Amino acid sequence: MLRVDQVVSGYGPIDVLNHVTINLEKGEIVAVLGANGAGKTTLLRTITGLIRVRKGSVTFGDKVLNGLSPAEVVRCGISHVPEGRHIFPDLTVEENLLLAAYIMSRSQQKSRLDAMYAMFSILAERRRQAGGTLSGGEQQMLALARGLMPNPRLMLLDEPSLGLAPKIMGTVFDTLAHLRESGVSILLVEQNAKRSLELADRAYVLVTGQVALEGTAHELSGNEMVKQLYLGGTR
Amino acid sequence: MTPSGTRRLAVNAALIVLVLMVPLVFHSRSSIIGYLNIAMLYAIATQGLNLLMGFGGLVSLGHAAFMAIGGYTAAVLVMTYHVNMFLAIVAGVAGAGLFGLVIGFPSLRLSGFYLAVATMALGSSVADVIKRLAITGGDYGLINIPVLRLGGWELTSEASKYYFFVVILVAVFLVVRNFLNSRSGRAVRAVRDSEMTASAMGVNVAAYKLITFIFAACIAGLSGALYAFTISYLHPMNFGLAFSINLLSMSIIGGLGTIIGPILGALFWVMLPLVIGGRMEFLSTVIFGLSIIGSVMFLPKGLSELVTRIQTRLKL
Amino acid sequence: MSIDIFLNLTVRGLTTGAIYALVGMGIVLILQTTNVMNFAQGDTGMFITYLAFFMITTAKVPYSLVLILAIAAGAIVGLLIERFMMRSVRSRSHLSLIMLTLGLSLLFQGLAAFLFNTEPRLFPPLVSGDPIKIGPVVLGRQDIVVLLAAIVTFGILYLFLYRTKQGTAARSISQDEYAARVLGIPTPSIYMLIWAIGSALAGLAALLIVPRFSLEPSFMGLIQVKAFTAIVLGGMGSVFGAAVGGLIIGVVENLVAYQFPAVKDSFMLIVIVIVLLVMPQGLFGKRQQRRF
Repeated sequence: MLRVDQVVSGYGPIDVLNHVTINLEKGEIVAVLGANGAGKTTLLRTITGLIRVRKGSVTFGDKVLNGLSPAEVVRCGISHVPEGRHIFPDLTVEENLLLAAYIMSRSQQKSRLDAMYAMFSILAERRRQAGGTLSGGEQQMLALARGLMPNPRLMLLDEPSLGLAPKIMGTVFDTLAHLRESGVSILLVEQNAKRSLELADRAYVLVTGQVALEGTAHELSGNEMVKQLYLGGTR
Repeated sequence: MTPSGTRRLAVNAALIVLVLMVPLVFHSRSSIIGYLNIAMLYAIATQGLNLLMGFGGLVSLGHAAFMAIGGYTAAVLVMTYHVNMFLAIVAGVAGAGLFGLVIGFPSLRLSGFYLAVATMALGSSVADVIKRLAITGGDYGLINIPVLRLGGWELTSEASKYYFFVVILVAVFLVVRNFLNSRSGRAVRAVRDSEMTASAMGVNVAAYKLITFIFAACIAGLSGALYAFTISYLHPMNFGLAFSINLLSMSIIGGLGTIIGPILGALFWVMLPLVIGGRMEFLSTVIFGLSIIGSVMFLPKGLSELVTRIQTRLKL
Repeated sequence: MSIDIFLNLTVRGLTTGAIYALVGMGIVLILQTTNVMNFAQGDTGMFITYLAFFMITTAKVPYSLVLILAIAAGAIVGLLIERFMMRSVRSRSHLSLIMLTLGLSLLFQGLAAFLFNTEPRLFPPLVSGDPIKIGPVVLGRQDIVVLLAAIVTFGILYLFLYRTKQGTAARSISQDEYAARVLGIPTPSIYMLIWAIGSALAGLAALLIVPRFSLEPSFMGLIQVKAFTAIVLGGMGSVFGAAVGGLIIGVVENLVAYQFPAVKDSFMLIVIVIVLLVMPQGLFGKRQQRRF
């Protein structure tokens, strides 16, 4: 479904991603692990079109995503939940959600909104509250819901568990599993390797802009290097 | 000496000769020399602004105020208090420097747009205050300011002023260049590039911002004082926001952050209306506007970029 | 000062303040969404006014139609400025952006002077006739038009910003531009829309105030400075702060001018500096907006 093929991209004079190849099939959850600075966020930004692809290609189904603007990528069916949530602090929960479905018609927006409120009851309760007043866990729910508003076939998630208490983290991961069941494919960038490998079908490990390891989640959990570097101790 | 070194020496020598010969060539049309003199005075003031913005990264929309303070202080001291002209000019420079300190303080707490608006307000208010004081001639301006006279020489002819200003301009040029190459100069540029980093490296950011403002103000004050004794007439409205923007324009068109930018920009500013002539003076304003826009969008180093390209062409 | 005079000065001050508010709101709208401080706001309006003047006098177009055309022209100018100038320099420093708008301001002044020459002209008011008396207050008819136009504009802007998709998108961009792009909001189109609205506001404000002065290339200069005072007072982060700031400045300025005519303009300038140093977020600005 998603093919990132020998992609090179970066910022200014620096190439952060160095011939990275990642595949994701429909219905999968694929995890991308790696330390800070390995290029995980850059990867997601490249797919979404926030950063230009310098070499290589990104294809989604039969559509080439190289050179598309973020708005166009969303239209193709990919949504991106950025690292750090980035909730609009002075807009209401409802406004936050509606903006995520900017390209949709009024009636489509309404039905998506209802679906989100059904799925995340806490958001329905807080629909008129300003985004900045929500707790960390609630903001993460809102961020997820924003990612789901445009009815994506593929969701890119950047560190959804960052800064969350373990219990809430559990809810998040449960939600992701639930999403997979309903047919949404997920590309998950995470530092919490343990949880990610429990959830994911397959995984990649990025080290300084290159794919160092790939395989099924099960294989990687058993891998010695992964165990030492990423699974040793708590995050 | 290397071939390019010899070439450079030759070109520089030729330029110096050309510059020195200008008054002789235009002997019969001294008004042109007069314009060149004004251009040089503007270039001096712009040099200060360039230091502030190009190298210091500090926005100032009130630069004309420093010229005004320099000019009025010197003029009033000479005319009302009969102070020696040289001392009066020094006082003018000092006064401008003092005001530079005043304008410098907001820059410690504000940046970007806020600083722009603050300097705009403070700069405009100087012109306004001058307009209301009797001692400065108020709304009528200050007229009949004596002619430049230093150490026994009375500089009445345009040519004599020309040579004098060339010397001053070169001196200012050298002082600024040496400052920029010094440790202080590097500190100033570090502050421009990243205050946080500079501060982390032990640079006293506040002190350097103030130093930059004072230095720039003093240079502009010098320009203003010399201006007063050259034109012999000062009016507050000539030093308001509009003129501050003119100085800014000269800076940009000449090339922000370069040493020769100010003189190129000032020459362009003063000479273009002359070249276009008479009724078409408004066309100059249009061209200036377009030049600024073009400079920002396409040629960040302004006219100095052209000079650099010529230098490369001639393999200097 | 008697109560009658006070009331009259206040109401008259409100009409001037409404103009500062209109100009200021346009500046803040553009500033908040696109992060550019438009020093050409006043002169854009001035240029539109010149075009309007010639439509009325030479082409004999009826005034009300001219008003609409002028606002449309303002919108188009704004759109072009964003599309062809601002878009390519978006990533540059504040100084570059300021200089660009200053260059634009010079360009407009030069074009106006060059195309139409600088001789001051009398611009006909939208409505003529005797002043109207409401209780102790005497209001010129044009002043009433100004007040009405300002109120309607505030209302429309409010509806735009809080009830439309595009307006909400604009607000989201001002809060977190990155997030807006990630979500797939078409930021380039929103920028063009905002510039169009901002410049249309500039045109409207200039047209409304010009009958009070004479039409010449510099007539919006001081008004723009006052508009800056207004947005500093109201808080640079708030479109409606700019409106309130403008009204306050208009009223206070008028009252001060009556009692102490000499200080009128410098007074305002000192106000800016004091506010910036003591209370940089202004009356209505939110938390420290370190955008700048």
